[in-house]
Amino acid sequence: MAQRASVEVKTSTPVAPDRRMMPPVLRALLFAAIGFVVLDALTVLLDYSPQSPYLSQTGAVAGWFGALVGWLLGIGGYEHIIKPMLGFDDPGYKQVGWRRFFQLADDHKVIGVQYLVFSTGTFLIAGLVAMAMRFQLMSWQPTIFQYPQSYLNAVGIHGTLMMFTVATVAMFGGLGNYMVPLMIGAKETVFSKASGIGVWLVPVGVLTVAFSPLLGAWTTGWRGYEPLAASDGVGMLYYYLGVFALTLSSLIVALNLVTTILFKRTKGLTWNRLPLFVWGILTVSLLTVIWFPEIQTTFLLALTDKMAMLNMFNGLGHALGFSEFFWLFGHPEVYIVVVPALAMWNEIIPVFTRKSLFARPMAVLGLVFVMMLSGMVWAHHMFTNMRYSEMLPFSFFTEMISIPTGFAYLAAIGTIWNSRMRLTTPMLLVLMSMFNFLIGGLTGLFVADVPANLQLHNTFFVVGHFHFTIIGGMVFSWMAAMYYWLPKFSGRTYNEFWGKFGAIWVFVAFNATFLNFFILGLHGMNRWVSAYPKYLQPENFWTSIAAFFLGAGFGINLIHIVWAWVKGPKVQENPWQAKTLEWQTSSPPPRYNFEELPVVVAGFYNYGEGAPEPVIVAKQAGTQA
Amino acid sequence: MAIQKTRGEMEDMRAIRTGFGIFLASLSVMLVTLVAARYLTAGSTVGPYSQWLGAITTLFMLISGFAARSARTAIVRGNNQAMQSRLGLGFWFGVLTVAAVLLQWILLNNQGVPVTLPAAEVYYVLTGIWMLLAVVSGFVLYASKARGRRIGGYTVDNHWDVDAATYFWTWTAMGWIVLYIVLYFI
Amino acid sequence: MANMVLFGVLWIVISLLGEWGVTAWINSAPNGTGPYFGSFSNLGIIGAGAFDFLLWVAVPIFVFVVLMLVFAMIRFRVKKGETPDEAKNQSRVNKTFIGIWVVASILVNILIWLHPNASGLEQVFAAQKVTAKQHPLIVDVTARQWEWIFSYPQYGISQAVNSQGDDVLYLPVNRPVKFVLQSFDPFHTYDYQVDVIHSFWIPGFGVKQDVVPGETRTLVLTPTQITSTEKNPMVRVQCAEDCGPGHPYMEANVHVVSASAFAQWAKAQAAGGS
Repeated sequence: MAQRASVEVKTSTPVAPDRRMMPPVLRALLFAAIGFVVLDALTVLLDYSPQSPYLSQTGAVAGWFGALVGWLLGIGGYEHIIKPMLGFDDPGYKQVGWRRFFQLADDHKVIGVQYLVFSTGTFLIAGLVAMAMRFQLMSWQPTIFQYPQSYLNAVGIHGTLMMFTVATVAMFGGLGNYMVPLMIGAKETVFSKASGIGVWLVPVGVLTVAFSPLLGAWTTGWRGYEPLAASDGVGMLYYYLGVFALTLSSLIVALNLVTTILFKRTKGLTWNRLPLFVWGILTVSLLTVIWFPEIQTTFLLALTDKMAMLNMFNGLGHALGFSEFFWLFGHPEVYIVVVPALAMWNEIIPVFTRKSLFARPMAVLGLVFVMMLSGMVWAHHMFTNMRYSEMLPFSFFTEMISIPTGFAYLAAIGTIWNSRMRLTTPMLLVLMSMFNFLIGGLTGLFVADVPANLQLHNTFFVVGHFHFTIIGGMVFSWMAAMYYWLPKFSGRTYNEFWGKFGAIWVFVAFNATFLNFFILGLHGMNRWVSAYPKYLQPENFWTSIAAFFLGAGFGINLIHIVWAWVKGPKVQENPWQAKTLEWQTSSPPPRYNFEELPVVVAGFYNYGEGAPEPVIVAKQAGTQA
Repeated sequence: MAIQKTRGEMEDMRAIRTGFGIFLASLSVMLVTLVAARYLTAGSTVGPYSQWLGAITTLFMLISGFAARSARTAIVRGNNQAMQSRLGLGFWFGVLTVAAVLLQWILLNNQGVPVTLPAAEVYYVLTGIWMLLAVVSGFVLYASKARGRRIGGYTVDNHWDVDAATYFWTWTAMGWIVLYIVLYFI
Repeated sequence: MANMVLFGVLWIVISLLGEWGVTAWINSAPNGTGPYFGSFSNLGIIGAGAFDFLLWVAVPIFVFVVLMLVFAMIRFRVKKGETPDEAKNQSRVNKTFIGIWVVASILVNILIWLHPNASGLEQVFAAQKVTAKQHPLIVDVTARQWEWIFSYPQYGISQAVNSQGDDVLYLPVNRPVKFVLQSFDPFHTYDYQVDVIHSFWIPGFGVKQDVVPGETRTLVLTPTQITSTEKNPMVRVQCAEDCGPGHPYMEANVHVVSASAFAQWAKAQAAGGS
């Protein structure tokens, strides 16, 4: 709404005296506490009886909304959103030094880093939870999780955080926000203010989910399945609310980036020349815009269902209704996670193979068709409870979606063939990601086959399958992208030996862990169990050992990347001789990215002798302010 | 104060408008989900809602929606005064609409309709979520009016805030009408 | 060209080796059910057949891609001491390759949808249509948080238990069994209808079916071997859908016995006063 206010501020870099009483994060916490207490008190007053407890279920929910509003106002929404909406002047953003990361920002690069930090931090939290789970599974009897519900709650927190804060956010909110405007030659995003406030929804969501067991353990896993959720612990409520905040954040990212890509492309950047990663983010944004409101509504329905003890989703209502609503979103969500990774492969491969991208239109079409088909396969999560007549069509679409997914491989393989490959860490990680995702995809054939699915569903085979697609596909590509873009973020680079060492470590440990999951599943190990029949213990034991190595491997890579970002050796501006636009400006880029907006005259993926240079810097472009 | 807009600014405006349109389209998915939930839960049963009260609620909503629309028309023609009063009309009739829905909640409760009756469930849930949206878009509508007063009025060239607020409010009004048809008739 | 020939030869050789290895794996288990393990029922055998077929299909695809990655890392890498120049071959399109890829991926997908999937499903559906002439054994299965209750209306057994008082499932071998699955809590004091989704799974039988509150579902299968939980821990009833804190412990022992042993057991159970 008050978009123009920020445009005016741009000309005068604010050096206003710091009149703030306390750091934004502290003020946000204080406001959140006030918001919680006030709204909770209101619920008590509105329905007062001498017996009413101070904190009821309704109070916890209302208080949460109060805390959410308080938090957003405190972090800077009051000055930058609410007051300008009411006609007051925006005080401007003070974006200097390290402090800029701890307050509201409107610079897409700061926002991108904030997203990256939040998802990395959450990756650590949820990863430690996974370590605890694996420790429990070393024994067939309860050890560190004395009660199954605490184990199940850990599974739920691990899944929810990994899905909604890491897998969905890291490449989309983090790299997407940071890189997309640079890659399309834009000075900033369209809704930079909304985007700045959206990122602060992530810590709200993470803390809400992470501390939800304080209200009472919930045992449904990351899906929040009804009717179990209705009879489950009260912490369930904070699962819904936490995910609501997280999805809202991603929805803002999607709206912002889709509009930015549609309108802010620089001169000459036609759809035919649009970088693949941007195509990936565009398709993901559209999926998000369609499906996230759907799951948010479903969670609001389920929240009310539980809070007011309605019968919408239990045996008296429509018991499978929630599952249907959930998977309608749930499967597109998987592609929201994976599509940026597939796009990233073909972003990195031409740069390091010094070879023009093979079959670029197919690579783009693949992403688009995956997007379109992804809404038609969801029910394959429900083969064990659907009507027989629905099995054939849904298995058909499920098989078919492997065709456009394969186009990413088609382009990648066509490019590396007869190339001159520099086997750097990012390139190695991309090849590893292709290997892992291949296993994830091929095991998908088994799970998509209905007769076999009736055995494999809800076993560790499925757990292995989706960890291969998400860790193997998305996390490995995320790591590849981090090493690839490190010189862009900081002007510094990593150590090649330690980079490869970390990559190989993670690759070996990952495969050692999750290949075992397939065998475990076939041997009859089902999901969501903290205790299992004794005959499965030896295999589980070795799986856990490998998992600990995997955890340590991620730690090594994280330390290495942070070290390189802060203290690594300095490199020249474009160390990989890449051609896309983000490399056509200084590293790290200035506040408004480009001194002069670049003009694109050819595609970015042409290599070899005499390949046309894709970019000219338009000195004469005087029309742009 | 007529400001000549540069090409870049016009382009920015177009981006913001389209982005807002995508936002509203995205919100519409919520409505679709709610309608689906209505039929999954209660089939096509129409609950013991007061048809009179429903009609009055919808009338309020229509008045409010059209007032907001005409507020935008007024400012497109440069009539800041008329815009202000019509925004006020739209806002207060919006408040009346929400009050009328709440009245229906109280009536259902007082008639002794069990909360878990499927037709009652869907009424509470659908209108409840709609009211949540109405509170947000009502605040935006109110803010556009307050902002107008503080910045010394909108002009023919500068009224995007009113546009956005009235689009959002119109969307909310249409949302109510969809829910009205779905809940009271089919 | 030399690369292409070398790659092609390697692909064929390694794929053949892979197929040989997979076949050996499949045949390593009795009755050729290989790594699927759960094949002690007619439905499990269908699933195992599908699984084995898909393994054969997956091997050449897997070998093609992985060999390509390794091959490229070795053959196309800029080695130490070489000048890091641009690639000579810059072809951005190869209609033959793209055409073969697209057609092959469509054909493979249609094939596996038709063959192990649709054909297997036809057999599963056919197995569900059991007639009175086949004398199916009817077992009423009640899932509650967290217990499996088995009753045999044809034999007057309302809750089958073993000598320790635990729920137990006895089945005769080679006779169709019709499980009637419901999720509710007969022991609940005031709200017996409210229960959650469970999933009736016997890993050794290679099949599962969700048990949904408010619905009655059936599953027909025929056990094909005499076995028991004690002999093979895969042959057990296990809840496969997360149903709350007691989920890991929601299991029951299974005995597949001969027809005469079953009749004897049923008589004893019915006389046991239950």
